[in-house]
Order: sequence, then structure tokens, then C-alpha cells
Amino acid sequence: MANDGTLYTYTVVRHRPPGNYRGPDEFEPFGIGLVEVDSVIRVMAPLKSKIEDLKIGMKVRFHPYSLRTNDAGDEVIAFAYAAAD
Amino acid sequence: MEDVYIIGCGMHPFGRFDKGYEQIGAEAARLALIDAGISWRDIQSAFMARMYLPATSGPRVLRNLGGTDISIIDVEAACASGGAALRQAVLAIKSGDVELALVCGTEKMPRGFMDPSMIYSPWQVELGMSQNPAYWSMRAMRHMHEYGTTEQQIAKVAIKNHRNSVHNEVAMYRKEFSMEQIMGSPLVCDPIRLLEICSPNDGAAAVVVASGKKMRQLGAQGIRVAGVCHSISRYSSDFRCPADSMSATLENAGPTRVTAERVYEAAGLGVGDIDCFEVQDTDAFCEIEIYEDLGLCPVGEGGLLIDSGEVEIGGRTPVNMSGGLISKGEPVGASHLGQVVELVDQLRGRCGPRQVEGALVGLAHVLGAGGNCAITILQR
Repeated sequence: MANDGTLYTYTVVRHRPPGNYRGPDEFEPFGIGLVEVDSVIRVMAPLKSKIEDLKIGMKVRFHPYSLRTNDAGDEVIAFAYAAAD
Repeated sequence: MEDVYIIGCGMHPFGRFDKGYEQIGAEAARLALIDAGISWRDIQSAFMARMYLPATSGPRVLRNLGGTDISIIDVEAACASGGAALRQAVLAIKSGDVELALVCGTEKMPRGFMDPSMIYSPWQVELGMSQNPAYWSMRAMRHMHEYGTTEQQIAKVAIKNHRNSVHNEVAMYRKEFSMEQIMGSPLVCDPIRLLEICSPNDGAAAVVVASGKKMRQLGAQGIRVAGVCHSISRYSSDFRCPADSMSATLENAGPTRVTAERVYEAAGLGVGDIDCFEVQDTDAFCEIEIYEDLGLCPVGEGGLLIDSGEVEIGGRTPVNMSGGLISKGEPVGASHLGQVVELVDQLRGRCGPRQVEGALVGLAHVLGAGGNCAITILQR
């Protein structure tokens, strides 16, 4: 699967999601979107771009990031997409 | 096979109440029995639709009506639980197993966003992908991009449904809102706003279903169940969690379109034969997409349909005469049966100021987690 894709659609989450959300302690609105990859699949993921920069059709790139450290002391990696440039 | 009829219906208002679900459900069931002119001991089988309640909710609710040893089954299919339960009762009658059954939907839910662990994987919750309105919001953003649908058109759905609710004594919110008030309410997930979203709550609705033979014996005037279908979305087009989707084709038909095709065929009726509609307005945008998926207008023209006024009471194809879930709230297990009760009342001409003149055929639609979709068509 290619690292690069196109933002098919997105939304901005304006309130802290319910349950065990691992975002910043002080909630900040963030984007989530559906990224079209290789013209055959769509992947849903958080978007690590500024919310005011989000635009349908923008080029985005796979963006792994460190989510947290688990009980065993291992780093837990999560995925997102961010603007390609 | 023999036709099946609804011969009585009842509702406990949707809202928030300081009483247990057992009492809420029993009140709706009792009203349905009274409306049908029969007693609890006449019922041969019962089905309880619910999602948030504990095991054996059905017997716990219905024992308030009196002791019994009949089959009582809890049915859960997310937002489509009521349709799945009604379908089981219809099948039980069509099979010849029973002639008279009770279908009840009951729910009591906490305030706020629904419990994400019931629908999403733990990793989705950790990443913040567990907020329900986000999914419809993404569809709304794409619809606006592709077809030019506007935020004002989406708001008009909320205005219509809130306006209709004023005359519905079982709705939770019965207040009109202006365009300025809707557009001035806070964004929850862009472009969907607070006054455009339905809220989980408490409530119950119940119907008594009978075989044609039994109905005639009782001298009752029933409303025929012309069709009731339930389906879940095809794996690759699960509209809630497309993260799971690894689709070979990007544009699979969604659950509403699939279920609508099935129920139109089962009923031998087309969308043009239907006089009034109650549909899942989880938010104001999703009603627009449902217009298109039910065939009320071509794909992409849902925004134009709300502009045309044809979905208002008095229009050609009224939608959500009851005020919809935006006004009533969504007690998940009870929501579809609440729609069915509204349609039965419409087809019997007993809806007062929100009556659709001369309504003979009505359609009720729900859609929710896992792409669970149920559609019921009723005919007078």
C-alpha cells in the first residue's frame, strides 16, 4: 500500500471523544478523514494537519506517531495522515 | 402466505424519566393491548427490542402485565432492533406458529455520546475515532463537495423536524427553531451542529400483530404489514467504521439502498406508492442522504428536495411528520417501533395537526451501528 493518498473527505471533531481517548490533556479540536490510497481503498485515520488547512482532495502522507508507552514500557505506535509537503 | 396486520399500538413518551425501563416498557405494551382491544393473556409470543438494557429485559418488562409462560425473546440489531423484532413477529405469524404477538421496544440510556466500546475497537477509541457524529459528518462534507449541498439545506431538515414535533405529545423536544438558531448552535463535527443531532434517551413503543384470520375474528381494523426487511451493510461499505474497509470497489451500495430494494420487492410497492415516511435522522444531513437512497430523488439532489418543500407535511412526500429522532430523541430499541406507531396513527387518520391527508401507505426506516438497517412498509 502506498504511503501517499488523497483526502476523500474529513471532519473536525470539536469535542473530546467519549471513552479512553489518548489525545492531549487539554482537548484540541482535530481532524479525522477518509484517505483514498492507490485508487482502490479508503483508510480512516486521524489527520495531523492544522484543521484550517484541511481540504478535500489534498495530498496526504502516512504518518506513524508515538501514541503512548504501555505497561511493559514499550512504545505504542499509532497512525495518522498529514499533509504530503 | 397469510397477511399480517398491526391491530393496536401504544407509546411511552420519548424523553428522560425518573423510572425504570421495566415500567416505561410495560406502559407502552399496556397501551398497545388496550388499543387492540385484547388482554395480555391473549398474546402467544412476544419480542423485546433493546440495545442498552440487560439480558432478559423482555420478561422483566412484560411480567408487569401478569404472569405468563409464552416465548419472550430480546432482539438486538443496534438502531434497527425494532425492525428486526417486528420481522421476527411477522415471521412467527406467517409460519402459522402463532396468531397474535406483541412487539415492544424499550430503552433507557445515559446522557451524552453513546458508549463507544459498544461499537468501536479499543484502538479506534484511543485514536479519537469513536465519536458517532464524525461518520455522518464526513459523508456530509463529501456530499457538499460533490453536489454543492449547503449547510443551510442541512439546517432546513432540522427546522422541518423541530417544527413538526410541536404537535407530537410523545416527542422530547417540542420547540421550533429558526435558521439563525440552528446555524448559531455549536459545531459538533463539521458541518453538523448541536441542534441538528438526535440525542439518546428513554422511551418505549409497542404494537400488537395478528394474522388476518385472527384480526377478522376479533373484529379489528388492522394496518397491513406490507413488508419488513432488515440487513447489515456489506462488509466493505460499513458506513460507521470504514477503517475496517478494504474494498475492491469503492462505491458499494449502502445499507439503506440495499434494504429499500428488498422491501419494495417484498411489498410489491415502489417509492411512488408511498404517502409518508419516517426515517432515521441521526443528524440532519443523514436524512438528506436517505431521501436519495430510498429513491425520493436522484443521488445528489437531496438538498434540492428539502428546498422544494415536498418533504413537509402537505408536500408530495412528507418525511418525519413526528418530528423525527432529532425532536423525539433516540431510545435505540424503541425508535423504529415509535416510527411504526406514528405511521399506524397516520394511516388511521388520527394525527391531528400533523396528519398527512389521505395517507394509505407509509414507510419507516432506521439505520445505525454496523450498518444495521430496517425498513417497514405499512398499508391501510
